[in-house]
Amino acid sequence: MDHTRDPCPWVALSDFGGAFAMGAIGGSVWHGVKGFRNSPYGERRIGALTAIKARAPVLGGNFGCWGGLFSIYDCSIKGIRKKEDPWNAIIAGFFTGGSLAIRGGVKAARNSAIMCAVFLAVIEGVGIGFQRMMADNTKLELPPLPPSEQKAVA
Amino acid sequence: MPVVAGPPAQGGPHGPSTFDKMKMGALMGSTVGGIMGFIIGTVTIFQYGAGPNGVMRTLGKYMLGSGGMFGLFMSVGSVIRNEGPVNDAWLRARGPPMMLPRQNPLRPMGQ
Repeated sequence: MDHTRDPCPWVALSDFGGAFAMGAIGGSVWHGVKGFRNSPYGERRIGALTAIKARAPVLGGNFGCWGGLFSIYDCSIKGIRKKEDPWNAIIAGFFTGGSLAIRGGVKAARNSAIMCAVFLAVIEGVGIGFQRMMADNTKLELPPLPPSEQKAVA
Repeated sequence: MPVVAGPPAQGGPHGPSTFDKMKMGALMGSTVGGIMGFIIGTVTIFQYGAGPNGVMRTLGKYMLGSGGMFGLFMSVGSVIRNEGPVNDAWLRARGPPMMLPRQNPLRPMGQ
């Protein structure tokens, strides 16, 4: 568990802001490129700017909703289960996806919940894999072979 | 003698830099996005068929697009999480020295 994050009820707020900023900045790049490519010659720069102004804040809002809701669910599940493992994130992702798609009906909510849970499972799995890969570099090296054996091997 | 965790050596590594964090986030995001693109692309192909481009090209497009998007967003996300001057390394450098019990008796210092 990392101690660089805020304690539990407040982490939702900082996650909301972080996710909004992430969506807004990333959305500026993404929609800038998209608006540039989709505009006719001569209007490419203004097209990119228009696309950024129209879409990047919306994307930031979507990201913020997702991140804040996910963080709230994560905290609640941590409080209920009294455990910290990857399942917390997966269950929180399930509920987040379900809540965000609930206006489309039960079927849409179910599909979205499953998709979000799979997504969080992939993130957790990749995170664990990367952690293991990073930890591999700091492993103790084997001591060098004694010279006589080295000569024999060579 | 207990080991004192003082400020990091001058000129030595100060933990991952912002660019390192960005690279790490991009790498992780691309991996996650590639896997997610594979999953979503497979589901879509099974549901709606591959289209005129064939299965492999459609799946590859899904994986590359999703990988690029996630890589971009996660590189942004790992950079904006800078905690300002009051982060862990700063506290360790400026705060009162912290005493840690030695755990391995014969460990050479500096590791």
